[in-house]
Amino acid sequence: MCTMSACRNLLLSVMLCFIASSTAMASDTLARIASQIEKYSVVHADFVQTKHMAALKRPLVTTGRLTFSRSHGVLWQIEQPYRMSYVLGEERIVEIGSDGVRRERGLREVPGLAQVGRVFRALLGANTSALQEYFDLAIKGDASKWELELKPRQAQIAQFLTVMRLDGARFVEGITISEPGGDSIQIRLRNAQGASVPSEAELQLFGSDAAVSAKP
Amino acid sequence: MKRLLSSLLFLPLLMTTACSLSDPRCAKLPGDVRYCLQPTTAVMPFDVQQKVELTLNGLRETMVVELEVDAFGMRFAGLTPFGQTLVQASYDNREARAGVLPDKRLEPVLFLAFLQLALWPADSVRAGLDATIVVQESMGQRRVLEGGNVVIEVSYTGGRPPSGDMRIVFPSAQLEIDVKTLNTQTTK
Repeated sequence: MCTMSACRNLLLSVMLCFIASSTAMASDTLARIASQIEKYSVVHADFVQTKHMAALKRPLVTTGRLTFSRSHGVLWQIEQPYRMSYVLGEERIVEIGSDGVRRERGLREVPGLAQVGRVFRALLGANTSALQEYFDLAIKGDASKWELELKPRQAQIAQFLTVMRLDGARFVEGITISEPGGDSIQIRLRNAQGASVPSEAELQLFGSDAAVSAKP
Repeated sequence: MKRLLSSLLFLPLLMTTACSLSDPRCAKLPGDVRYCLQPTTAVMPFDVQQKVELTLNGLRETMVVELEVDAFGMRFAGLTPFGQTLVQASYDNREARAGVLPDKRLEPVLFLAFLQLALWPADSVRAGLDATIVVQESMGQRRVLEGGNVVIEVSYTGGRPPSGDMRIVFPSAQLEIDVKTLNTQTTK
């Protein structure tokens, strides 16, 4: 039999061991998820983005094709209900109209889109260190089927989103962003495939510099 | 995006709305023209999604708009193509309210007034304007004139809204808005 104080200490030690072990398991799972996502330099997927607004009856749905390239950034090609493409790069944002006309902008010109680009690149590239800088991470499941919950650490980000949830297996399959006031954005990614380089057509859209730099 | 949208579109409008109007249903438009929101019962209920391109001095911005109109009021939201809300406003046939505004100095009634000027029947638009303001209606076009000067010109293609597309020009603000209808539903 232990004394009350010894029992309390023992219990505390067990709890601390358990917390330490859970944290280690979580960070191990996170590392496994990141390493399986990092296997591919390029990921292609079809997306369905649904914006639900508390004030409106009908959600706004856009569908299209996503290409994430570690070297070039994110290519977001909206196909329905209108055609428009965006390249979210580290240095610039490019909007490509349905007529093929490209409009390039520096990140300072479009800080909102630049922020979207940074978050997308971090999420799709499983850049956990970048995500941990801005969010508290909680993970469920294992590397074969996982869910990640991200809560903003900074009040500045919390103004725009209350929580972000990711789920997936080999690739990211879903992103849900809950906003203050009850609005949400849900992105489902389907038919994801990994590749080592973007296709010729994608390189054209990423830009001429990209096409040149990707040639062997 | 919000900052750019503010400087692109709304700063010229801010200059026109610096002096707030006492009636919460009324907006001061470019050209010093006052428009008071009309009841939503003036149109058949509808629900439309549109792609909107705003151009000012060669700078262009794209936004996706959702507009719902029924007997209870009208609700409007403008989003970036990635789903971030840039502007959200509603009117319950008594007053206009803002959910999100790109600039706090802007009044939500202004956005709703633009929509009504382009989408409501000409007689209803006339009822919302001072008697000195002229509304010219012709096939595929609507013009609002003050002392012979065009305040707003709306050109319709592919049928009248909410099913067709339109181009709205505010010459005094050097602002052009191209609206392409993506998806329309007639609601009850």
